[in-house]
Amino acid sequence: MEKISSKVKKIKLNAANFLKIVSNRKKKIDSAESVDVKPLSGYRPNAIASVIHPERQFVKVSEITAVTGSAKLIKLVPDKDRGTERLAPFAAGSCISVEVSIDGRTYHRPYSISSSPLEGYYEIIVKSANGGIVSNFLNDNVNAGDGFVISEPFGELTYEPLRDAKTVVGIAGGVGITPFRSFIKAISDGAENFDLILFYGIDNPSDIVLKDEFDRACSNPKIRVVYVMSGEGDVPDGFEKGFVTAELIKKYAPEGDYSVFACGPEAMYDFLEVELKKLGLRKKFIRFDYRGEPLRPKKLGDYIPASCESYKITVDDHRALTEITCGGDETLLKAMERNGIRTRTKCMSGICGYCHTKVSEGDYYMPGNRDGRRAADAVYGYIHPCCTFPRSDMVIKLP
Amino acid sequence: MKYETDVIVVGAGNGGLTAANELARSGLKVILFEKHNLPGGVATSFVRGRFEFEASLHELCDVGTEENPGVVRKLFDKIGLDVDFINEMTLFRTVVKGVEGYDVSIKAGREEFERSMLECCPECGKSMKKLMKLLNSTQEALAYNDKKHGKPNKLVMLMRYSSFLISASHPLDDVLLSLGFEDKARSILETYWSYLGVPATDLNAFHYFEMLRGYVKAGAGVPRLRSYSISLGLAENNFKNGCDVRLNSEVTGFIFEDGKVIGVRVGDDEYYAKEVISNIIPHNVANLAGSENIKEKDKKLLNARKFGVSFLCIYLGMDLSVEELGLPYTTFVSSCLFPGESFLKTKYPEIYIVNCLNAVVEDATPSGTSSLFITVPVIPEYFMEGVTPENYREFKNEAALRYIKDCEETLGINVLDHIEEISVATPVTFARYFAAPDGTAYGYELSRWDGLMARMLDKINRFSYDRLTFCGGHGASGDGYGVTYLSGIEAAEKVISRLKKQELIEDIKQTVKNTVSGKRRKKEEN
Repeated sequence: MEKISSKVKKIKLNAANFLKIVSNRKKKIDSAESVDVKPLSGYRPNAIASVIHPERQFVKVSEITAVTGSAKLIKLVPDKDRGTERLAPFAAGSCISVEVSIDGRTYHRPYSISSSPLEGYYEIIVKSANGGIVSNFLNDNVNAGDGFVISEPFGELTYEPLRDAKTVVGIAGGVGITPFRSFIKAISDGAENFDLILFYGIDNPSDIVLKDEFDRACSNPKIRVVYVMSGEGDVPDGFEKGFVTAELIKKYAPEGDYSVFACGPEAMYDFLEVELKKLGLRKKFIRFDYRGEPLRPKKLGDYIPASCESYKITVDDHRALTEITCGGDETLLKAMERNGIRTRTKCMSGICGYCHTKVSEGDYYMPGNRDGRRAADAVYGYIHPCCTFPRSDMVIKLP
Repeated sequence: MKYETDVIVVGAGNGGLTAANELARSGLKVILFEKHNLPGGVATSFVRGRFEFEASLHELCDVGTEENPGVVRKLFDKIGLDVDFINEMTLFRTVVKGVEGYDVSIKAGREEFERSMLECCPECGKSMKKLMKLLNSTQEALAYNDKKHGKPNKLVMLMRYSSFLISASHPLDDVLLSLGFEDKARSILETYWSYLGVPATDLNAFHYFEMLRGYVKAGAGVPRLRSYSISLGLAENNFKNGCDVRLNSEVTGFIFEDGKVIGVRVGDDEYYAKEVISNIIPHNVANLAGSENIKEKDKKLLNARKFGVSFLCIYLGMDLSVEELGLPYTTFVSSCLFPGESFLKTKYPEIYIVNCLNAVVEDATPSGTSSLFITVPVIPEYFMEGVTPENYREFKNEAALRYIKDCEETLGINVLDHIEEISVATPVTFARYFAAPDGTAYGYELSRWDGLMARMLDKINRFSYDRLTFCGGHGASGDGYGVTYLSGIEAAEKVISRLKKQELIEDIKQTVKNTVSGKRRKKEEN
């Protein structure tokens, strides 16, 4: 290419060049090789994408440890026999969706990864819960050697250095400790670099999982764990009593900016919303984890009562129409699961959009704090069934 | 299981959606397969916290107003799609750093465009007049060419439309030089090249003028509810027209018989059709089809081509309003007047675009907030050198930080203290969602020998699978929202006319058969 001078320069162009366009192109193509094109895995962006975003991962349970009377730590390693050579890398605070088949029905439930990104395996902590089909199954029926299909890691409670403050005030409620164990391990082994002050809210000391581990981690000046006990009984030395209030946060938080990361039950989020307002934090400094499925919809602020106990839902899967019933306070996703209809879901909190589904007919209620839809979804009648309750008979069209 | 239909469309990107729509509208039975769980391909959006980010669209060229519609608005009107567009009449602000640098804003609309160019380059009047004349004559030449059904009289073309022939056979930079533009004006005019991913020294001038005309004359538009609303609108049209839209359905193979494409595989199922339209890039089709089904000349064409650029996209939810940021919708930033090809062949190209959606769609985010969208054209080979799955996250943040800081310095704004949400897309993201080889966002590079004009003129060296028609950004007309919507319609029209011909032939055959057998019967009766 000739060098362009800074002065105005006139150049002459030739219209006859037009006649050469096609022959030039032909020449170029003729001189190319007639070999096969390389597969997608031969390109770096595609190769990286397939490692960090596998469509599914096959894992095996390598170890199960009881961490409290009702919670187990399950260690998952790649199942090489089924083709998963390595587990996808993840950012601390991410979760995975675990597929479980029980009595011929398939369920998917998200669990926070509780191990460090540098360990090469995933650990999840599962607490048995009232009515929690999958959690109870994982607690009672799983043995070392069992295989599972899980999703790629996903989630939004991850530390973003360009967004979050240098110090994170973590607030864990009960089993909401799981992502924070990952953060603590990640800070300890250098995978993450920020200061963490963790309030670990528990009913009583016997609820604490892996206390020895946390106590050891606290020798690192970047990590501090404050136990906050809300139940009756004696409060051990060094524990705080009550709930994580604005005042308690102020007592421990540093001068200047800090981010608040919270993971726990719905009641904790509702409580924190009030408390954090008192601290006048900017929205950018407040991160709540996925709220999970709305188990008690009646308690939600924008609850729309159901006029019937249950509704008729017609599910169109492109091949056939299946009629099922769905309770007024049951999500469409759960009704489909119950009826053995194969569903896709990841976050179970209305946010990730993996279960995105079209409503052809009918009214519904999606709680505002779980409505992660795009604006156009509402216009064209799309929902996230994991957090949608019917308010009339409905026809839905599976993707 | 085995299924049958009239036409299969593979991929629900812009082209696939309009193709399926056109086919279904004509009464054909159509199945549209899409591997993702949403229709639209890159025409999509995503939610983070209280922000809904546009994933790829900057603005739709040639939208025009309701009173004076451009090509795109007419297209949507024709297919009965109501898109809420907001017109954007500032073409861009462009900032070039350094001693020769400048910071100017150029307006849309013929007169406004000329006036704003003259304001920043008082000496370019004569050249601008020539440019505007050239834009017009290009349009006239195209009209003449259409009138002659693509077979114009060569002498007429040479006598009457020689300026068109010149722009159609030279790179943009050469043509602007020949019009006598001085450096600054030429640099400003060339700003848009990054929208096409080909530097001005390699970009076919005609291609650029076609785009410029769309921006200047009709004016650009931005959909109020992101490009995703157009995708859902098109999907809705497809439902209404009876097209079966199958999301989460990845086509894993093409079925051939006697060199003809007769169907596709989706998981364990086989779907057969009279015709197949592919919105997916020929490279991926070749991989799915298998070596034995690809003609030698098609292999050559595949190997001759280079992929178009990919992008680093930084999406920022800001807790500052657009007024506090003080940005227009589009700002181009570059470190030199004439960023050429070598400019991209580096890890961090010093050229990028900053969009603030709220400058056009005021309520795109909650009050007191705004969204920033930084786009950097990158070539993966250079940009992603040394990147592994393990260091990918760090790499993403490093790259984002670099451009955010540059943006702060160059535009004098504070970004880092106000990021409420951040998401970063790279070639890996394009690879992940669209299976784009090497993360290309723009199909095949529209450079020199394979530029727009060359592709349009060369009717022979095209992919030649029997019964398989392509649409999308990798096609003859290149990338861009408007052209990909159109490419789907063109592909559908081709298929419809072939099927009609076939039907006609079948009809005639049947008639002949009936007549012959009728005669025979008569004979026998006799």
